[in-house]
Amino acid sequence: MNDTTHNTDDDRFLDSFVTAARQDVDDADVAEAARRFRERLPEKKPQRSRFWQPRFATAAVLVTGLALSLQLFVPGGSGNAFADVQEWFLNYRTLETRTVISLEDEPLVTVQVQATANGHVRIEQANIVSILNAENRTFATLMPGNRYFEQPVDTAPEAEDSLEWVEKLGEFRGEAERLEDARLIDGQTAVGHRLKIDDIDLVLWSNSDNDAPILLEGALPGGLQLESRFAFNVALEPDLFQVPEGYILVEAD
Amino acid sequence: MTRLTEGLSGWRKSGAARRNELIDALSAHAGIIIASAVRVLGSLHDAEDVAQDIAERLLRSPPSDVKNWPAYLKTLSINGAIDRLRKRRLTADTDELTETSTPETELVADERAEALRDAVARLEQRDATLFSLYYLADLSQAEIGRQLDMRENAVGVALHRIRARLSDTLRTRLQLNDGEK
Repeated sequence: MNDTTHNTDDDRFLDSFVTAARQDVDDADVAEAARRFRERLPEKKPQRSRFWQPRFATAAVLVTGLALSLQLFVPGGSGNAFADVQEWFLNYRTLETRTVISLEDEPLVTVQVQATANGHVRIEQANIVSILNAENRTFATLMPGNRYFEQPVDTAPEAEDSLEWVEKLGEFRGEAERLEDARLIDGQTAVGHRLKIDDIDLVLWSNSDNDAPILLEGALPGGLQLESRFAFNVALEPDLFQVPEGYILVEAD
Repeated sequence: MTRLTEGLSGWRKSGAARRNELIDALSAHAGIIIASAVRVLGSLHDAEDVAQDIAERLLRSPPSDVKNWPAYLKTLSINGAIDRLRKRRLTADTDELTETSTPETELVADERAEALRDAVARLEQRDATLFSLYYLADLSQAEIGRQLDMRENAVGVALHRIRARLSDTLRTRLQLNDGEK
């Protein structure tokens, strides 16, 4: 019990009630309840590094955060259709996304993310390329001038100052509302689902035939517009996840 | 921070890793989850329900970057227990102090415990949580501050205020009961 060090009658009066509440239940009964609780816990799952989530830059975070959040998203009352859309995020061989964040239709940030089911990730933003090679467990940043930094993934520190709202994305439990009108996107008939995550309105468009996500649109704070395009199971060359020959390893400053 | 370290700082655990870490934490701290809830609720059965609700909710979306699992789980447990306590009190006849028709000096421990719960249930949710975290779940003021996003000295001030209010409430109600006898 926290040391309250109370000396007045008033304090002693209240402490007698607190003590009573603390002693109201037998420790052995609590231990037995804890044992029952543990028995109901599910088994742990084998871990696999199918999709590391980088919070490398705003747009990259956005793309991967949304992808992960959609994996975790459980629609309420929207039927199975959205679950079928989500299934693409759960089980893919490769995933390629291209995200553009714009202000008044002027692109501000463009990020391309390519990922494989076994955990390789490549992020391209402006003239910086970042590569996570899950097999080697290395994280490399390619810089202009054929230089690169590299660090083992295992030594990477935990995120301290990450964008909080990405966390909220993963925790979101809401409803995906299917839009009435279909739309033609890149020659594909697309069905839209509207969802709201952390007060951000998003619409995820997916192929009406196979439910594959095609496009995510959203209105971000500050008048920013988000547009992410998805391509699943496209062929990605293994070289994409390797530091190219000729690059020189330099120390991080 | 360099771009490299900034980038590296963002690597997160995979979904399976977070889920496994959660299961480990729930298992390791099952006792304190239930003990915290039962002190608020006075019912082992209800406390187990609170613990189960917490587990199911977290397993649907395992949290990441939890720095202090015991404090985190205690906070969830206390919050869940307070919710349940308040609902229980709303559905019960709360005009009278439950089963406490004896003078203050003669109250037995069970009655004191129940009287406190009754009074806590009438506090604002945040006050009830704050009081319970400190007095029933043994979190330090600093840790409560971290969990509830408050400054430590603000926690201390709030606890002082809540203590005074609870004391007044309990005295008043007991005096009322004495008067009715």
